[in-house]
Amino acid sequence: MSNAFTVAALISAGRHPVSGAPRACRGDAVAMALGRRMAGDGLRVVHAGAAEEPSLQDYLALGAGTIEALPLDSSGDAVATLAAHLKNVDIILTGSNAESGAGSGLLPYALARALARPVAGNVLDARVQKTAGEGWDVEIRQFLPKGQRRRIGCALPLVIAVHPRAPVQLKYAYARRLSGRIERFPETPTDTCVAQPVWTVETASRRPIRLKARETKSGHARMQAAVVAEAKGGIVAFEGSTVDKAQVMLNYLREHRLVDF
Amino acid sequence: MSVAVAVTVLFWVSVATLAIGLARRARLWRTGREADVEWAGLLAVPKRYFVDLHHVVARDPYIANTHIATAGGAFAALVLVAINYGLGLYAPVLDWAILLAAGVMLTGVYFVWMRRRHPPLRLSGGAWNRLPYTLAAFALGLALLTLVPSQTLSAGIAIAALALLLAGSAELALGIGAGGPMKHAVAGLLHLAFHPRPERFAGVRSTALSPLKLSNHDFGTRKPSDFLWTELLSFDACVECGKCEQSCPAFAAGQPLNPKKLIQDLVAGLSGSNDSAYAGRPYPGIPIGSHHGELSAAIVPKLIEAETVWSCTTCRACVEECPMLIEHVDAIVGMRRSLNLTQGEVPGTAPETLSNLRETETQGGHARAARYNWAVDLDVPIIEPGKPADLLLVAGEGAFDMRYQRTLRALVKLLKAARVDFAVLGERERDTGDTARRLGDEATFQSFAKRNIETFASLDFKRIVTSDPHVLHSLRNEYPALGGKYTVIHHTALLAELAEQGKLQLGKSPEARALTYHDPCYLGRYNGETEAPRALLRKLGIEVREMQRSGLRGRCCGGGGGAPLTDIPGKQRIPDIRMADARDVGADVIAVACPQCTAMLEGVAGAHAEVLDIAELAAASLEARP
Ligand code: SF4
Ligand code: SF4
Repeated sequence: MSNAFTVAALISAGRHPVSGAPRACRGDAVAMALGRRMAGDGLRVVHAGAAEEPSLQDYLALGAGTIEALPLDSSGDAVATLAAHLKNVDIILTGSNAESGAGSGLLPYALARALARPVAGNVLDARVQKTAGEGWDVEIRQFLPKGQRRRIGCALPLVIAVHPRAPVQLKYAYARRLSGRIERFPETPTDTCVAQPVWTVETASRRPIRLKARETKSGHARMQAAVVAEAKGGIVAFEGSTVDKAQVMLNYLREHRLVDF
Repeated sequence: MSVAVAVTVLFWVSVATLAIGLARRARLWRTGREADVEWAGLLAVPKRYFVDLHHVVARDPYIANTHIATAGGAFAALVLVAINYGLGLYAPVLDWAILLAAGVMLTGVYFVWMRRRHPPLRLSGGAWNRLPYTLAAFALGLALLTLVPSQTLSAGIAIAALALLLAGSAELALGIGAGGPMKHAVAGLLHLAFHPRPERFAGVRSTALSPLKLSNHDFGTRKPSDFLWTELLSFDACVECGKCEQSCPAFAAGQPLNPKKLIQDLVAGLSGSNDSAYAGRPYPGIPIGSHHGELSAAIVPKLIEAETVWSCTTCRACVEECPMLIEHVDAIVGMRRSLNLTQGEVPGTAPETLSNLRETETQGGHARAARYNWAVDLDVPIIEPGKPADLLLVAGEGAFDMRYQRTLRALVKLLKAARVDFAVLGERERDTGDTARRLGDEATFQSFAKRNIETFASLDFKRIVTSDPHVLHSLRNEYPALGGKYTVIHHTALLAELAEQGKLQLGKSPEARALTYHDPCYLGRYNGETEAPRALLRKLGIEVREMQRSGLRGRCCGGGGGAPLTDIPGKQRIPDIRMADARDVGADVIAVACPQCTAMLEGVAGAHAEVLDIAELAAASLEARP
């Protein structure tokens, strides 16, 4: 299938949470499957990192076809490398966060910033369609909590972070693992240095702990909140500037003693 | 031209027709892949026919006797006709012999006709229904010709006799080459000669799947011509008796599988036709007539739907019952392999189980270190390199199941009571890859086998004992082809042996309720072990109320072959049917010897017989010792 638009899916080295065995990162595999649905054989599959990474074999079995492996320079800055490599690609698909490394889920945002294009998160489905003019745009279905979904339209180019529960089927076929190829690219010198994260790396605890306000509501109220979308209470901050909205959130966190500053 | 000469001409024309037809059919068979065949097999055909095949046929004495008369009479008559008319001897003595043979054949045909008047549902109709008539025509024609002396033969009778003979010869000569019902005779005999599992004739329960050469990009059976040519030949041997259909648990449960139809579909694929000529019961829920096959076109889904292939529990009941010794399970797994390895098309939760296996080496995605959590307070020794043990206990995947852990604890208790020198694998244990293999994931199976063989090589033990017949089967029967040869014993056999040797002092079982024993397919049919569990139960003073289908012919619990994972919907669940079998004999307890059976039968909804492993029954008797 030849498309008038180009699509690439980014894949990272996955690790099984229990055994630590290398595997295709589930979220990235889902993004790749969605990309396959959007672009067919035209999908490019890109990995920023070593071509020897064992988990790439799993992606081949899942139908990657050819993987473009971009070695990282000493800075290990995947964003800059990817931005340089993918600046002409219309749609870049990523998972929501990696299973190894930082796993912060920031990559799609950082990449979008580096390429100066919008980013859509928690995407369940995306379809490219012709606009009234000769261009293309994307219709996106986005995940919201409690079974809600939102449909948004977006112009190309953009970055799409796919929700791990996007409805695609992952099909692992050993024969594709053998027939797939990994294409090594030379190191690209990167000049655009985008926000280097300032954090220290340590082994992850099992899962990030979610901050949660202590419930003071009755059982019935909790049940209502769980089943009726409107009854969830709280404040919806539509008004004001971003700073005002941030203030509303901070107030909430302080009120429930979830932060202490 | 005299009548006798006419018979000679008819004989040689028929022989020529048959030869041409057979050559065409053989060309179809030979499109299959090369197989290692022993030409000496041809010499073994009489023994294989009279001993091995008849051993199966004799389970139904009516049809066994009918077949002996019909086929025996026909064979004798044909040989005699060949001598007397083919060679132009025209000796009156031989005519009398022909008359005798035709008489025997006619008697057989009469009984064929009788059965076909009210046929059991499992039998196919269609072309098979004309068989009593065409065969009778053949026998009658011969009888007429030989009975009436040629001097007194009127032209009318002679023409009538020749016409009958012609009709009969058409069935035999034309029919065989054109794929009619009588092709079973020739294909059946050749199949006996070139059977894909010749060990079966040496009394070996040959049940191991053969390994794929993955490095040669051999990914299973996508199209009919991917079968071995001997397998294609074997499909033509099918007599559509429906014995396989009758024994198939998936068919009984209303899942879209019927082993007889499957074999007939493969025949349709072989001859490039559609399935509308098939006149038996369909795959439940899938109408006949909409599927079509080609020798070199993909089987799934044009010829056979994927659900059909995934409904099978690999219980081998069909193979056990098939009088033509056809290997259905090999065919099914071959197709699964292609679907799995080349397309990753596996239904239900099976893909999740397979990725768990690849990523954690357990089916449930557990930590390997958790496998022996159930033994944490039992002080069970863990085997290590340089620390030998007589027996290596392999717990299998049941170790992660809370219900089954009770059985394993009972087993450990018994081993300790018998003061056996045993140890467990501990964190070194990984799945055997058995389930992956049944699901067609040969790559995962082979990589597990390789890693397990390495692990075992580093350890020092004499025998492996396991309570899981699936583990037993893969380690005992399937690892040898990949280089791992071990003595593997099932826990029931070990306990029976220990009790026999007096090392294990069992008491009388406190179990007073009516009890029946369910044979696991992978212990009974796959390994022929039906006696040890019963001996052990007898030792415990328990009398087994046998269910109608037991031992080598037992009914599957529905747990094999990854069927609970692919979970193809039917009208009933297989374990419910098995539980009903137990109810029919009034059993309150159903003794089991396999973690899969335990889980399947425990999962039956509503009130049902209590499910207890033989190890649990035996362990309970320890307290009852004097
Ligand atoms: S496959 Fe065997 S058991 Fe089944 S119908 Fe054919 S001959 Fe009978
Ligand atoms: S192996 Fe069992 S489930 Fe599969 S076709 Fe044969 S009888 Fe049916």
